[in-house]
Amino acid sequence: MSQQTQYFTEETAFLAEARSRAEQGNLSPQEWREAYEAIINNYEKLLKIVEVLTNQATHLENKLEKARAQLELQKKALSSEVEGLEKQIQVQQKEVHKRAKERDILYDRMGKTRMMLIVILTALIVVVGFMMYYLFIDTDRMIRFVKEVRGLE
Amino acid sequence: MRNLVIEPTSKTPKVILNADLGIFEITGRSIPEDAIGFYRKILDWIEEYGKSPLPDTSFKFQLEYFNTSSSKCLLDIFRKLERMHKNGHKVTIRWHYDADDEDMAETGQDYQALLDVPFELVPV
Repeated sequence: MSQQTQYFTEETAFLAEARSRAEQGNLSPQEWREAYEAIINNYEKLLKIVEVLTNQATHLENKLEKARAQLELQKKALSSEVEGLEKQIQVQQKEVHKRAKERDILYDRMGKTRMMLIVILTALIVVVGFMMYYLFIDTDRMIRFVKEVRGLE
Repeated sequence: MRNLVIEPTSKTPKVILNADLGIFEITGRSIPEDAIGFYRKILDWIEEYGKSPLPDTSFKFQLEYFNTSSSKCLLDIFRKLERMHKNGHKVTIRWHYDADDEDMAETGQDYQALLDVPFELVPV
């Protein structure tokens, strides 16, 4: 039995019976009339069912179409949101790059300043070292030097 | 008689047919590929129940979506309930639908027009 006929078991059974009776052919005019009336009644009933099912199929298609349209709207809203988020991410990435560059520049300056401080400190130590040497160890040379500068010798 | 309870899936509705508690419900979504296979046991259960039903049977249907083959199977269920009604038993079909869902309301109206059994449309 096909899937279609399984959905209409009663109608299919009636059709088979009506066909079988018609093939026998030995019916009285009264029996023919009764059989014909039964066919008309069943046909009318079937027509109503088909009408209802067709209407319902249309309603269900409408419902499906509404759901599809709603999904389409949601999809658009979602892609617009994603686009906005992507732009926001790009802006934030640029900001991060900018900050990283500023940090690199700052580190570079700090390195140079550190080096300069070391040089200055070294020079200062050398100068102080010399001064200490002449003040406390080679004091005579210091005195001679001061006298030379002042023109006393 | 034994109760019939079918848990819902993404394609089939929840079914509670409990003659002890007088609960008869089909709720959810019905889009099975083999609608006949799914509804066969429900139809058989109702056929059996129809032999000695409760004094008052109220059948609740609350479906958000169903395919055309389920639509025919639902009609078969309604026909069985209609037969019970014609046999003198008190039977009411309650078609619950979302108040905003015009399509499901009209679907209920289509069934209502076709059947000769008390058929209530219940917006929720």
